[in-house]
Amino acid sequence: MLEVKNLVKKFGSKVAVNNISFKVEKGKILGVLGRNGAGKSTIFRMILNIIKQDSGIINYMDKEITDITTDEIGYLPEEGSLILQYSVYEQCVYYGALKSMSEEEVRENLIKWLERFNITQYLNMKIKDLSKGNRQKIQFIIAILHNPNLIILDEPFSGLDPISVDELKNVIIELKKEGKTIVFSSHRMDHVEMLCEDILIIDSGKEIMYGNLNEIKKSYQKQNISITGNIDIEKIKNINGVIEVTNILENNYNIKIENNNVVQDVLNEIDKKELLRFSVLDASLNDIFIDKVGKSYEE
Amino acid sequence: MKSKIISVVKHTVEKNIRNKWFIVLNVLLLIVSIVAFNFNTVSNILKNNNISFGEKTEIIIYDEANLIYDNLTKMLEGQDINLTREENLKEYSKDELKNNQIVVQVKNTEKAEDISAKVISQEGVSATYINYITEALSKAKIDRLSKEYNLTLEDINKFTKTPNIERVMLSVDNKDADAKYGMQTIFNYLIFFILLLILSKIANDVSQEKISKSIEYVLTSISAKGYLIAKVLSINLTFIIQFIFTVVYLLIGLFLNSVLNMYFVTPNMELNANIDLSVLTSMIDTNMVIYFLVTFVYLIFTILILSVIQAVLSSKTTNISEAGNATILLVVINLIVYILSTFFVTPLKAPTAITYILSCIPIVSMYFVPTMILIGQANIIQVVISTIILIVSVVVIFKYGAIWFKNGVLDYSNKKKDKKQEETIDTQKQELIKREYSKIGYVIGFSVLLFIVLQIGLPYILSIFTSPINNLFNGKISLTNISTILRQISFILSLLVPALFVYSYVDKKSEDNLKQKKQIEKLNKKINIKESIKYVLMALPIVAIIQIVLSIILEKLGLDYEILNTVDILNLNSNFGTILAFIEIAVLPAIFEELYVRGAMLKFTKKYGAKFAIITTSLLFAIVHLNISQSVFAFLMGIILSIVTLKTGNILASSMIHLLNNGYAILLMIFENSSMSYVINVIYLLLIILGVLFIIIDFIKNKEKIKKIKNINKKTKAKITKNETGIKKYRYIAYDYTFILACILCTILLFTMQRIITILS
Repeated sequence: MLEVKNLVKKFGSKVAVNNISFKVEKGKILGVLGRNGAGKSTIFRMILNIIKQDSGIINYMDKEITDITTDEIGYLPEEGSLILQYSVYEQCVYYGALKSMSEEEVRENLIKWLERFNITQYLNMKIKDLSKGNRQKIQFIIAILHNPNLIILDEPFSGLDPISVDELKNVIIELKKEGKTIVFSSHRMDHVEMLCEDILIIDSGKEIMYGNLNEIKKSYQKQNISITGNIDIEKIKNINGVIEVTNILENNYNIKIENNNVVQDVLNEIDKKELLRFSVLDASLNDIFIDKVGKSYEE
Repeated sequence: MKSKIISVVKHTVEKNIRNKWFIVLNVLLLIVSIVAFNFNTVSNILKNNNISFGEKTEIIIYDEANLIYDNLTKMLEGQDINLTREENLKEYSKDELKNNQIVVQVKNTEKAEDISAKVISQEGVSATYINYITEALSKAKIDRLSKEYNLTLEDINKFTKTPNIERVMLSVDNKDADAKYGMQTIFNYLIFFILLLILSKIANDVSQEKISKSIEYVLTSISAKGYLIAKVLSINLTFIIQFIFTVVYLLIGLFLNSVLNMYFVTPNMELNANIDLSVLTSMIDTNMVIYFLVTFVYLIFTILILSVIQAVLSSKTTNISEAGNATILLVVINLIVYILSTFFVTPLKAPTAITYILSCIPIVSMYFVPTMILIGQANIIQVVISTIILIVSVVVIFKYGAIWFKNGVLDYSNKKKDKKQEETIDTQKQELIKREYSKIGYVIGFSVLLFIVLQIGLPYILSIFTSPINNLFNGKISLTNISTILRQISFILSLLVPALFVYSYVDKKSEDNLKQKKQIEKLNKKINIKESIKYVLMALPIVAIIQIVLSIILEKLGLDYEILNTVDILNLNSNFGTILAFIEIAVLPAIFEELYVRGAMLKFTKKYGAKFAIITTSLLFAIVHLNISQSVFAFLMGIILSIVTLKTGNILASSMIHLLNNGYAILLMIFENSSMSYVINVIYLLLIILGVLFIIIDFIKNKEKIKKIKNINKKTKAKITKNETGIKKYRYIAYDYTFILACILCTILLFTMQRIITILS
């Protein structure tokens, strides 16, 4: 449905996007991960025709994206793009007009979505009087107001409280079930892990990893062992295949290991009487990300 | 794309119209147009039915010889005024007269030319009544004179009739050209008003959408060109709708007026309250109709072009006030073009080739072509060509405007951030140096601007007080002396204000160090004064040499060299005047020029290097004289004075040199051709000889010292070149806009000030 091939964008001498390719099929969700300034928003902006790529192809339904096809695309920009002096209703009517919607259509859909998010009371409020989270919800409603087939969400969860995050997650899953195609970026790995089939990790404009999330996890050999108990840590650290041992709480350790074979070696070294808990975990997306990108990635 | 543009235009127009301010404005406009058209009629109707607001005006006339009473009654017939006659000449006090009463006391004299009248009222009398009274009085006067000299009224008419001038213009053939030209001027101001409204609205909308980053979302749905077209069209459409509404209100007002006239005005009532459209209709001919059509077309296209320019300009800014400045800029440009058009297109001059060329340029054509049509100077080829160019440029500007607009409006995000990231520490240091030195430029530039503005403006402001002060002293001081004093005050102020301005920027920390030094110096005060006198005497021969050499060079070049530019204005006839002249030429410059140049500016610039300080202050000293023939000498003298000031640490010595130099010149002038001038010359010569002696002594004394200092200097110089970026940093001074403006103004004034003064005086 959406296909990006060899995308390149430079700002002056700096390469913002360096040869990125990916593909999203209908009814799938792609998560784009990357540190701040990695080039996520730039890719989205190029897809939406705001800025022009230096080279590469972006196809939607095997065609180039024009001002008319953008009617089928919903977009949530990273930084709020709401006019503060407008009321929620005015804003939606204006943006609806830009998507070739009549005011009736806007009204109908807007009420439906406001009810879905339980924020009907904000209909006539000025945007400047709304909280950051509520603005984000309005922004999301605007992105899906015209019933688009492709939805591009740039950091959709930023500024939301946990309950709202859950609400939004459910809506996204519903949209997916309806057959919408969704591309989104986030810095919260748990959201990505829960929603996406495919992921694309980029850093400084370059592709680090791209593919099916489960396959990526499978191919990633490293695992974690979580141990609770009074243990001689120095011994474990010397085992061949142990990468890192971190002390999380008193008598609670996290041991990073090369592969599954190391588990037995670790277990052998431990005094079983002192052991309270021992569990082997697959690497989380967060681990993979930190390992691949090389730096800690929490805001 | 079309359907999107239409839907955006529809939405924007709807939003603009369904706005409470739009409704308030329209109700106001309706009320204003109804009141404006009907006020006179209604008040006339009320008067005719003996209903009036407030009390009637009452004119009480004391007119013993019946000079004006009868005439005035005739003139005021039909107006709502009570005329009464008074038998006795009364003195009126404040409490005796009512607010609506006017007392006219006619003074009858034997001679007809002395007939006069006194008008007494509580709060003044409107000009119309005064006109009536004047008319009646002059009628009486003419009557009397005609009897005196046995002249008939016809004879007098022959005297007073103004000769008729028939204006025949051979290149221009339009009978109402003048009147139409006047009307068109009013029309142009209306256009400016419209422009201001439309452009500011566009500026506001664009910058609002840019700042809120709403544009980010907008551009995902519509191309930049489409957005630009939609925005410009919708705002213009809103305005056209408003315009049509206003016309409708005016028509409603007119209609109401005609209804009122039909039902309430009786035939014998005066018709002056009715709006007379015949004057307007008489002027309308084919030229006029074409004019309105062409103006409309040109106005629309020109506004489209200007709107796009405005949108592009405001897309480059990041706050609303800056976008507003762009509007002002555009309107001012239009104003300039309009003023230009008044020079090129007038009913009194046949158009030249330049006029035709200018009339083909878009925007300019708006002010040229319609006016030329109106006064019958246009030809068809010119109109067609300029129209085609106009339409083509609209298309072109929408195309390229869209690209520039898109670049500008998305500019906040990427490019600037990247540039900042790329900036190395070195460039940041460079930036800091640039900041610091452009600040110097600002201080110098603005102080010079202050000086120039005060120097030119203050004399004219103060000259208002010349005659009041003369009255205050009952003429004891002559007018020339007063104006001299005022000139001196303005001279003092124009130097003192910039001096204070510069002084406020002097680094106070280094000042503290100076204070400590000064305390030490205070102990050596006597020595310091001696030192100062020594420097003064040493400087005198050098100044004299410069003066002589320069006068020879300038004479050879054929430029007249005079030290005193105000010689002609000086009043040396009285003792007081002479003293004033001495103060003006010798004392004031010695104190206040030194305060500004050496006192404030040298202290300010000293921090940035002695050589730089000396050169800057000397240049400033040359500028302060605002006279090209003096400035060379002033510059050289400035160098000496600055060096002396730097050596002694205060302006005492330089003031004394300045005083001696100027005082010598003015004293010679005062005692021209008397034996005193000989004495003065001798004294001056003696001082110079003394100075030469001091120089020789000093030279011998310090020979060894100088050598040592030179060696030290060489060492420190090497260090300095290593540490600093050199002279290059001084160029940043010219990065300041006030400095550039001051430089331009100074260059112009140096060459023209002398001429301006001679013209004005």
